[in-house]
Amino acid sequence: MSTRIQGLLVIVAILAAWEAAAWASLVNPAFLPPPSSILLAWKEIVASGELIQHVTTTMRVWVQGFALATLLGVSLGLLMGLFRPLAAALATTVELLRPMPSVAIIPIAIVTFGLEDPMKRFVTMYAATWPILINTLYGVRSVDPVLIDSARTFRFSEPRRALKVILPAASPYIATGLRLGAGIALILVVTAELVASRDGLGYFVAQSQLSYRIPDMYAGIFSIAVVGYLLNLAFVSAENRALGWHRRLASRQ
Amino acid sequence: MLQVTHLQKTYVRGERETVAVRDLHFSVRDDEFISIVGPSGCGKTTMLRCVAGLLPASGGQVLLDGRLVTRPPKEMVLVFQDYSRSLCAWRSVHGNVAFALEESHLPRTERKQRIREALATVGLTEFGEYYPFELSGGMQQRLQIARALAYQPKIMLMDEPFGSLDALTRAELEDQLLAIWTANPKTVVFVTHDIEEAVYLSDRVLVLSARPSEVVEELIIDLPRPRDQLETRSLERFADYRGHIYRRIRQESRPPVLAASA
Repeated sequence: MSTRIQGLLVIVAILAAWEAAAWASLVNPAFLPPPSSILLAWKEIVASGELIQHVTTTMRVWVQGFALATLLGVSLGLLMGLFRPLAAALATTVELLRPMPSVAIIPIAIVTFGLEDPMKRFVTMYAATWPILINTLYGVRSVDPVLIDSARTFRFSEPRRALKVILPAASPYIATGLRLGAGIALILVVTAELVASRDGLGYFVAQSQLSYRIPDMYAGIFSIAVVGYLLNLAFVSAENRALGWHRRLASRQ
Repeated sequence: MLQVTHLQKTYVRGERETVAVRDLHFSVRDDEFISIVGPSGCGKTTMLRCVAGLLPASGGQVLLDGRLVTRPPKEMVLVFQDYSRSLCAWRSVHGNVAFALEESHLPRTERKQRIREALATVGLTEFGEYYPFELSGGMQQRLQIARALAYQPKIMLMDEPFGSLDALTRAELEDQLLAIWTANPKTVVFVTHDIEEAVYLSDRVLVLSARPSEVVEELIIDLPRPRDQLETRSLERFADYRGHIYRRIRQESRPPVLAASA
């Protein structure tokens, strides 16, 4: 608890210094407005309903893209982990595509899908799939062969083994993949909105910048930060709840 | 009856061939308690995985009541040495026992009954909601045995099940196993490297040679039952059996030159 208070104190100190610097004209308030005027701008866009509308748009695309990435990453990771020939066949493709920064896919997506949700959904899914796929693959490969022998002894068929033994045993890895994927998905939604969109938080930030509403721009950026923070918080607490056995197991060793 | 006829297992890795099991030939009567001892690394686990239908043999056959074993048969269950690797860490004690019955298509009430009985048999009734990592090593191995009992196999294969437990826990579990076996007889094939344990538990002991393994000796253990950790182990005949097997294994695990000079 005391570390959290310390963390908050640092943030308060930074904001206070910033506020003071702006008032003392150490920085140009036109480019770096004081936190107080950003807060004011934020209150206005909250009151007008503009912010909530953009947040809803961003979250909708995030949920859709992330859900597709989960489906694709977990199933492909599971299949690659189970069938060595498939993993060998796809290894080169994965190793070529994965290191490419995912934002580079945006131009292709725009050409293919236009500027609406399908484009944003696609880039989000594309980027978030990688960490989910890779972590699922490692998780499946790390399942103890003795555990698999146990399941075979009790006559679990191969599909039932995948579902009842391999997926739950790999779930701590998969959870890590999902948490990383969730963060990457948010980056991609916002990036897509920044460069090519007509709505969403990224679009709001870009528009505010273009029309020189600098406090609005900052308010939008802080809102994105808050969304990211809350998403991560939600994932960590869901992980702790669902995988309590694993955390307590790990803390024993 | 379980028959293992000229079982052979060879691992091929690239150009190299390793013979793990050269020629294993033995049979086990129904409800017999048989132990298999041998020097460490003599391919006991490989043999057991072949018998359990988990690993295809390179030669020879495993026959269960005359039927060829090619995959895990429903009459057989294997209890592993490494309980922590064999149990489902994400399932409670109760859930781990339920695991054995999930593919059984038994009605719910029957399953519940079997789980309750199995947990009671090994003395884990109070711990149904615990997770494996919250239990001691001995309790985890009892859980694995409960899981095997709930399955109600005719044949229980056990791969050094008490090998990683301390001496007191081991003695306690040996007696518990004998009590379970007496109350509800089934065929037990018990693999161990502990000679005394083999003699104490069994009707018959098979001695294996070093890898590649063969049966080099078969010994009927004619000791009265029920057995007792103190009484049985202090019998003169117990010491004879123990000494005999010990000398046989020492012969087997020594290089031939040294054995000749000894």
